[in-house]
Amino acid sequence: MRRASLRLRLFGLIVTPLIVMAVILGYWRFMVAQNTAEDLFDRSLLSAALAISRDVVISEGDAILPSTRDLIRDASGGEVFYHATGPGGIYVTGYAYPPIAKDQGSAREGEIVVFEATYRDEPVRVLQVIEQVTVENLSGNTTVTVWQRMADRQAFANLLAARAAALIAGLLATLALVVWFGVKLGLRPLEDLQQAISIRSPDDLSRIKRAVPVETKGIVQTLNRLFGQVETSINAHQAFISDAAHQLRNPAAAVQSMAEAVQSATSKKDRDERLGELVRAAQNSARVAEQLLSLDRLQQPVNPTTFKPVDLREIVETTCADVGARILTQGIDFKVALPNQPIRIDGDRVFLAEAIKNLIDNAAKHGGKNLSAISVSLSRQADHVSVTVSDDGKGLTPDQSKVAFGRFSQVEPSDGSGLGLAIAASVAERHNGSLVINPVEAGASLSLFLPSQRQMPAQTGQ
Amino acid sequence: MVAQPCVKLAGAKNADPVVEDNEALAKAIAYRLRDHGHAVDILCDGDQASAFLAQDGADLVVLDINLPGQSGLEILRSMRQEGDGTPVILLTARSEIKDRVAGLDLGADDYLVKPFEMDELDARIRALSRRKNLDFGATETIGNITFERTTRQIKAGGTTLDIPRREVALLECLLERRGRIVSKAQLTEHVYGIGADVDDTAIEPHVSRLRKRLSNHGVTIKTARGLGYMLEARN
Repeated sequence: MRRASLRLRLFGLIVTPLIVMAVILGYWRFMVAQNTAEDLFDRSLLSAALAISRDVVISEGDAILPSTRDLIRDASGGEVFYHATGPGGIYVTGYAYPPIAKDQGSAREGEIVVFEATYRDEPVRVLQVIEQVTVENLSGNTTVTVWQRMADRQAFANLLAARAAALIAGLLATLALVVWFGVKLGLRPLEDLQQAISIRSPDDLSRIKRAVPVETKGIVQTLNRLFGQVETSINAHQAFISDAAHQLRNPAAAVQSMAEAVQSATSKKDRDERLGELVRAAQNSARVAEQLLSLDRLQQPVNPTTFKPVDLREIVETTCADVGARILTQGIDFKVALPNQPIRIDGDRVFLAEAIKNLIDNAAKHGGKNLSAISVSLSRQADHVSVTVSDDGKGLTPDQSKVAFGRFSQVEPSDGSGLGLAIAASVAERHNGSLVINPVEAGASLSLFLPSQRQMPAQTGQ
Repeated sequence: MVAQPCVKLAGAKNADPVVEDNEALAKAIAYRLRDHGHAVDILCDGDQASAFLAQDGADLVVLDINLPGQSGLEILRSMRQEGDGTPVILLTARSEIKDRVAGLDLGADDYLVKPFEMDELDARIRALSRRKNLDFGATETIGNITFERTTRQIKAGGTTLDIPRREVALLECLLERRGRIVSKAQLTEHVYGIGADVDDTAIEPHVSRLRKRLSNHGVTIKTARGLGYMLEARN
C-alpha cells in the first residue's frame, strides 16, 4: 500500500477539521446576518413610518417635509416607499397604491403591523402604523404605510455573510500556508537523514553520526546496527572470495604445469608417472572446489527442513566405503568399527557425509610418512553419538584446535586447502554438536560429537 | 550452464550415448568408454538427445541432469513412459539430492555424483551391464589375469586357472567393483544368493584362499576391516 507523505498527512490532519469547523461557523454567521438584517431593516422601517406620521401632523396633513424625505432615504440603506392617509382615509402623501396585507382590516388604532406582500411584482416588507391625530379640528385615524423591497435587505444580509466568509477564508488560507511550509520546515531533519543514508553505499557503510531529532533516534540506531552487520558480512564474504580464489589458483596451477610436463616427457615411463601426478592434481583441484561449495552452503542460515531422520551408521559406512578405496590404494590400513544397530539422528545427510569424509581425508593427508593405519569408529553414549577417526601419523594435540579448525589455515603447510576440518567443525556446530581433538599418546584422534536426541538445530543467521 | 557445441560421433549400432553439457567431461567419458571398446555418441542438448534416443536407441545411457533444452530427468521420464528400458546412469551435482532421488524414482538404474573417478564409472557400467545381461566387456583383465565372463574362465598368461566355483563368484563380484570396497554383505549375497541364511564371516576363508591364489598374478585383495574387501592390480 502506498502511503501519503508525512507532510500531506500532517497537513490533512490539521487543516481538515479546521475546514469543517469553518463551514459550520460560516453557516451560523450567515443565519445571524440574515436575522440582523431583518431586525435592522424592520427598525428603520418603523422609524421611517413614525417620522412620516409625525410629519403629517406637523405639516397639518400636507405632504411631508423634504428633510424627512431625505432622512428616510438615507437611514435605511435602500429605497423606502410610503403612503399616508389622514383622518377619514383621505390620501395625504406618498405613493398612490400601497401593498395590502391579506388580512387587511385587522389593523386597529395605535397598532403597528408588519407583513410581507407584493408590490410591482416584487416581494416587499410592509409596516403600517395607525394613529389617532387631530388636524385642523378634525380628529381621526391616520394610517402610514412604509415598505421596502425584500431584495434590498437580502443584499445586505448577503454582504454581511460574504464579509464573514472572506474573513474565515483568509484565516484558513493563512493557516494552510503556515502548516504546509511549517511542516516542511519541521520535517527537514528527516530530509537530512535521508541524505545521510543516500550517500551510504556498499563502499561506505560508516555510522550516521549527525545529530537527529529524538523521534528518529531509534531508526538511526537500527540503521547503524544494520550497517555494521552488513559491513561485517561483506568483509567476511570478500575475505572468503579472496581466500577461495587463492585456494583454487594453486591446484589449477598444479594441473596446468603438470599437463605441460606430460607434453614434454621424453620417455613413456616419465609420461606415465607425470600423468598419474596430473590426475592427482586434478582430483585435488576438484576436491578444493567441492569443499568451497560445501563451505558456502554451510554459511547459509540453517533451514530446519533439511534436517531429516537419518541413519548415521549407514552414512558412516557408505562414506568409508567411498573414501576407503583411496586409502587402501595408498597402502594404508583402513578399518571401521560400526555398531550392529542403526543409529538414528536428525541431520543433513550430505553435510554429515562431507564432515566424515573430511576427517578421513585429513588423517590421510596430514599423517605424514609414518602413517600406516586409519580407523573409524561410531559409538553411542547416553545422550550423544560420536564418530572418531584415529590414525598413527604425525599427531595433533587439543591445543592445536584453533589453527587446525580455522578456515584456510593448517598446522603444517601441505597441498590441502585448509578447509577440511573447518567444514567438519561447521557441520558439527550446525547439528548442535562439536568437533574435538582427543588427547592421545600417539597419532591423531578426532571425534565428531552429535546429539542423539531429537532436537532443533541451532538457529543462526536470525 | 551455456550450451556447449555438440560433438556428434558416428553412431554405431551398439552405441552408448553420453548426454552431458560439460563438453570436456563428456569427451573424457567418451574417450574412456571407447578405450574399452564401446561406440559412443555425445549429445550436449536435451532436445537433441531425446530425439536421438527415440530414433536410434542405445544400449546404455550416461545422462546428466542439467542440460540445455530438456532436462535429464525429462528425457528419462519420456524414455520410461514410452517403454524404453535402456539402462541409464545419471550424473548429478552434489547439491542435487532431490533430483537424484527423483531420478531413481523415475527409473534410473544408477547415479554418480560429480566429480567422480573414471574407475567408478567403469565399475558402475560393468555392474549395470551384468545386471541387464548386456554383452559389454566379455572379458575383464586385471593384473596378469583375464576373466571370461560368459564361460567364467580365469586365465593367467594363457593357462586356465582351476578355481572353485564360490571363489570364481567372489572374483566376479570383486572384479565388477574393482578399485572400490565391496562389503561382506554384498559378497555373501553374490556368492550364496540373495536371502541365503549364511553368516557374513563365512565368506572370509574363501577370500583368503582366493587372495593367495591371485597373489602370484599381480592381483591383490585388500581388507578394510569392518567394511569389506577391495580388488586391485598390484603396482
